Amino acid sequence: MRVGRYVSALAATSVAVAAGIWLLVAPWVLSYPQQASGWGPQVLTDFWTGMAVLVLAFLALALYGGTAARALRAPVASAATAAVAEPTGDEDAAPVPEAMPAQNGAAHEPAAPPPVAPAPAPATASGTLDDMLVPIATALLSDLVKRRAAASGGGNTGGEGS
Amino acid sequence: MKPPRLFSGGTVCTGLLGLAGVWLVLAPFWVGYQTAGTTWLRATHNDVVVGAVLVVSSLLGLFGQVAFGLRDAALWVERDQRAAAATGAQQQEA
Repeated sequence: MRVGRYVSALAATSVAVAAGIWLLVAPWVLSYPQQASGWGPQVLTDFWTGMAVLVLAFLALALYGGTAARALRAPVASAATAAVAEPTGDEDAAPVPEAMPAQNGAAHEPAAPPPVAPAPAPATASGTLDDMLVPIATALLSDLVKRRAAASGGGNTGGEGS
Repeated sequence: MKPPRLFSGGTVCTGLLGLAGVWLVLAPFWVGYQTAGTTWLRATHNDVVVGAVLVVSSLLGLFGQVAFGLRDAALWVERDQRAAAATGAQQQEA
């Protein structure tokens, strides 16, 4: 979600805040005529209208600011959703999730299927830390698959292999 | 994910600010401290100018809200269709 709509709304609301403050002080800055009984109709009109404008403007600022803050946090979630929704093409070469049920389902068969080839590095791993972590994760995954294959095969053949 | 909303509570407040601007323009004549056909008082000048500024800024804010909101809605629909197409392709491959 973009935040342009909130920037325009916040700018308009900021103008309203300034107008409200000005309306509150204008009767004294512009020396409106006072009455002996108190404030005149001009002062009353500007003061109470300014108060209402200020309250509305602050309320709008709070509402727009809250929504804009949520919109600024949204790109992280939407980017993750887009990464899940848009396949990169590596899913075909990394059938590891499908291999796990196959290993468990083959526990009662004499010969366990061969270990699955380790998953290649994802295309999104471009940073230095990712470049370091991806081979480690790949080796760990390969080792885990081999151990599970050996355990399922060893359980059927009388405990051989570990 | 929910689609972006076109209107919100802030939009209502912006509309009320525009109405306050209309009130400010009319107030000198409505309340009665400015009679028609006579020289305008300082209060009348001030109220009309500030009211016009409020009306214009509120209209611009509402216009920006609607314009950017429509653009966000269009982007959301496009992304939703792309995600649905990707999900369908994955199901076909499976």
